[in-house]
Amino acid sequence: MNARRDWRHRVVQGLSLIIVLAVLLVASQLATSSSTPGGLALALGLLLLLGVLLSEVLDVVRLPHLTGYLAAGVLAGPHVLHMVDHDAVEQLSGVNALALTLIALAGGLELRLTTLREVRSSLLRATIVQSTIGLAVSTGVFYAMRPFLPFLSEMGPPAAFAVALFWGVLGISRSPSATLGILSQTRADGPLTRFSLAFVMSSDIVVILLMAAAMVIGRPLIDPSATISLEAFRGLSLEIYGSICVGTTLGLALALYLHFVGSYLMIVLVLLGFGFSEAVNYLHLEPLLTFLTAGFVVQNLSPHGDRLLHAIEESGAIVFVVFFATAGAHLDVPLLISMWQVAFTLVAARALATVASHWFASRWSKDTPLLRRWGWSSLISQAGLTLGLSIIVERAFPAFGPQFRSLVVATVGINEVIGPIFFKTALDRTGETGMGLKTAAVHNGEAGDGKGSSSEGTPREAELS
Amino acid sequence: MNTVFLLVALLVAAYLGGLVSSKRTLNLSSGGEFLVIGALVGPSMLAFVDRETLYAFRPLILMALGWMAAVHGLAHGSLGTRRVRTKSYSLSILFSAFGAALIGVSTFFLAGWLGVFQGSDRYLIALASAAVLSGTRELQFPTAQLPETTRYRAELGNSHSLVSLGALAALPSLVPSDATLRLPAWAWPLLGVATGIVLGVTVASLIGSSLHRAELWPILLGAVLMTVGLSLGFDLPLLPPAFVLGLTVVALSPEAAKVRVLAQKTERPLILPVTILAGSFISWQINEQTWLLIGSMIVARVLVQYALGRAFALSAHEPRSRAHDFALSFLPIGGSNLAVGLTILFWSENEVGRCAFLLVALALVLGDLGGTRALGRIALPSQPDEPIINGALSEPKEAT
Repeated sequence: MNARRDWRHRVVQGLSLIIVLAVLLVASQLATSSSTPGGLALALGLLLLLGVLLSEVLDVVRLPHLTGYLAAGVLAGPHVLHMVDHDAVEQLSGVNALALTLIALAGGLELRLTTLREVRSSLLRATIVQSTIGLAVSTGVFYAMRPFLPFLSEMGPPAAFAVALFWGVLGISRSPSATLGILSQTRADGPLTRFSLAFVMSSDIVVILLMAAAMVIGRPLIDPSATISLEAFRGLSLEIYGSICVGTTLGLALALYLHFVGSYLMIVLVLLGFGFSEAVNYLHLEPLLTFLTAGFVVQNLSPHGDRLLHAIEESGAIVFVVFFATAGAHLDVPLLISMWQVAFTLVAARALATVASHWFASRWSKDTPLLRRWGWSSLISQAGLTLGLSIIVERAFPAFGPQFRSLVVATVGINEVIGPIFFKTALDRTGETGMGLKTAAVHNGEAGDGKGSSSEGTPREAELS
Repeated sequence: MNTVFLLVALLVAAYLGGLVSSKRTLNLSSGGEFLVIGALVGPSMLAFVDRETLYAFRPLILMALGWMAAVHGLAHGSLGTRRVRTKSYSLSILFSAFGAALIGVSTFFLAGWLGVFQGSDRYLIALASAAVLSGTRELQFPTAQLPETTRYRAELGNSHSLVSLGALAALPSLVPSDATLRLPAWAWPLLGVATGIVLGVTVASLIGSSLHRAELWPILLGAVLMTVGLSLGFDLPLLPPAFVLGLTVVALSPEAAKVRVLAQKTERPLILPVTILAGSFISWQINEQTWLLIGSMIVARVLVQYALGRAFALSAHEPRSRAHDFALSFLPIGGSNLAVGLTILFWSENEVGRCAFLLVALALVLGDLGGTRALGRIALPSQPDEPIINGALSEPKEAT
C-alpha cells in the first residue's frame, strides 16, 4: 500500500516537474530580462522549485538532495537552458553571505566537545597525514602535468613548483557546506558522521594557514625580485585571533539572547547573515571562522545549542537550495568541456591522494573498520572555500591567476557533484542515515525506529506530520 | 543611506515591531504609526532614505507582497482551524461588493466632476479606489471558540478580500498591456488566475499527503516567487495570482490547515518592514483637485463602512448600545488593503498609482485613529490583556 502511494507520489512529482519546466519555458520566452524585479523573482522561484523537484526525482536513485539542487542550477543556468541569466545568478549570489553564515554557525553547533574528545586521535593524525601526503601528491601530480597546462609550461621549474604548491593546498580543502547539507538531509549520526564533521570543520583553519604559508614561500619563487616576508603571517595571525575573539563574543551574546529572549530566531539569523557578516568583512576578519567559533561557544557553553541548530535547519532549507542551485548555475559548463581531460585527471589524482592519506592515517590511529573503510567519503567535496582561495591566488598573481582559477572552477565543479554522492552512499552503507532521529527520539523518551531517510525531517517535523 | 544599513534597520524594526506589538501598547495596531515613520524618513519628506536606495528594495517588497498575498489566500475564509460560516461569508462578500461598487461609482463621477482624471484613467482610478478602500481589517484567532459577536466580526473580516483583489485583478483589462503576449482585454485577469492555479496545483501535489516542514518553505516560496515573476512579466498586478495560489493549495491539499498555521507565523515579521518601506513610497506632489478627490473618497469610505457595519450589526441582532462599536470596528483597514495600494503604485507609477496609494495610506491612518478602540472592544471583550497584532491575536510565545 505504502509502495503504491510512494509510486503515485513520484508520478505526481514527475508531472509537476514537467508543468514547472513548461511554465518556465513559456515564461522565459515572454518575460523580461532577469535584471528586472520580476525576472529576479522568477529566477529565484525557478531555482527553488526546480531544485526541490529534481532532488525528489533523484532521491529515487538515492542520490543526495544537493545533487538535485546543483543539477537544477546547471540545467536552468546560463550555459544550458538559459532560463536564469548571468545577471540573475550574480544578484542571487547575495544570498551566499547568509548561506555561509548559517553553514558556519551550524558547523560550530555540530562540534561538541564530547565529539571532539572522542575523535581527537583520529582527527589529529588525519590532519597531519592529509596535510602532508595529500598536499605532496596533489602538488606532484599538478607539477607533472606541466606540459598539458599552457600557463604552466611557459614558467621556469621554481615558479611552476610554486603554482603547484598553491594547487596542492587547494587540493586538501573540503566543503563544510556540502557536508552539512548531506547531514541535514540524512539526519545521520554515528562514528563516520562525527569524524567527518570534526575533520571538515577543523580542516578549514588548517587550509587557510597553509595557503598563507604557500603564498609566503611561493611569491619569491614566482617573482625573483620578491623576498620572503613574515608580514603575511602576522596579518593572518591577527585575522585568526580577531575572528576567534569576535566569534566568542558573538557566541556568548547569542547564548544570552537564547536564554533571556529566545524568540524571532529567524530574524536574528538573517540579521547576522547580512548585517553582522558585513561588519566582520569590514574588520577584515574571517567570517567562516567567526561564525564557526560562535556556534561552538553556543553549543558547548550553553544548553541552547540544539535549539539554535533547529532554527538554522528550519530557516536554512531555503538558503541551502538557493546556495547550491546558484553554485550549479555558476558552473561554467563550456569551460569544463574544454578542459575535461586535465580536470578529470586532477580530480582523480586528488581523490586517490585523499583516499590513500585516509587509509594511512586510519591505520596509524587504529580506527574502527567502518571508519577505515568510509572515512574518506566526506573529504571529496569542494565548494565555496576552495573557490574563495583561488580568487586570492588570482588577485595576487594576475599573470597566470585567471587560467589557474578557471582550472579550479572546473575541478571544483566535478568534486561538487560527485563528493556528496560518495558521502551519502557511505552514510547509507554504514547505517548512520537516520540515526540522528533515533538518538533524538531516545533523548525524548520516544521509541524511534531509526529508519530516517531523506524525507524524514527533524523530530519536530515528525511531530507536526 | 547605504542599502545594507537600511536592510539592517528594517530587520531590527521587524524584530522590535514583533516584540512591541505583542505587548498591546499601541492603539494603531494596523501599523499606521510605522507608515507615518516611513513617510517621514522617505524621499518626499526628510529624505533619510533616498529614492535610489528605496528602489533597490523594490524586488524584496514585491516578493514580500507576493508572499503575504499567498498567506492571505491560505487563510481566506477561515477562522482558527475552521471555515467561516456560509452566512457570514456570503454576507461579507455581498456587502463588500456593494461598498466597493458605491466607492468606485462615487470616485468615477467625482473624478469627472473635478476634472482630475480623463479617459481610461478615470475608469482606472474608480476601480483602484474600489480595490483599496473596500473591506476592513482581518482578525485571526487561534480558535473559533469565541463569543458570538467577536466570532461574527472576525468571520466578516476574513472573507472580504475576494472583492478588493477581484477589482485589482480587473485593472489590466482597462489598459493595453506592455507585455509581449497579445490577449483580449477580458483574458488578462484570467491569465493571472490560471497562473495561480497551475502553481497552486504544483505546490499541493509536491506537499502530498504528509507535510515535511523543511521541504515546505522552498516549495511554497518557490511557487510564490514564480507567480510574482510571471505576473510582473505579463504586466499583471501580482497579488491576485499569488492569492489564487493560496486558495488552490487550500482547496487541493489535505495538509492545508498545517500549511496555513505555519505560513501565518511568517506574516507578522514581514508586515512591519513592508509598512515602513511603503510609507517611504508616499509622494505628496499631487494637485489640489486630486487632494479634494482623495479627501472626499476617504469621507465616503468612512460613511460606507459605518453604514455597512450598522447593517451587519442588525443582521447579528446586536443590542443598540453595541451596534455603534460594532459599526466603528469596520473603519480600520487591514494590511491586505495596504498591499493592494502598493501593488497598484508599482503597477501604474503615474498619477493614478500615486493617488490610489495615498488613498489607502490616509485611510489606514484615519481608520486606525477612528476604529481601533472600538475594534478592541468587539474583538477582545473578555480578554483585555490579550494582544492584537495587525488585527491578529498573537500566540503566547513563539520559538522562531
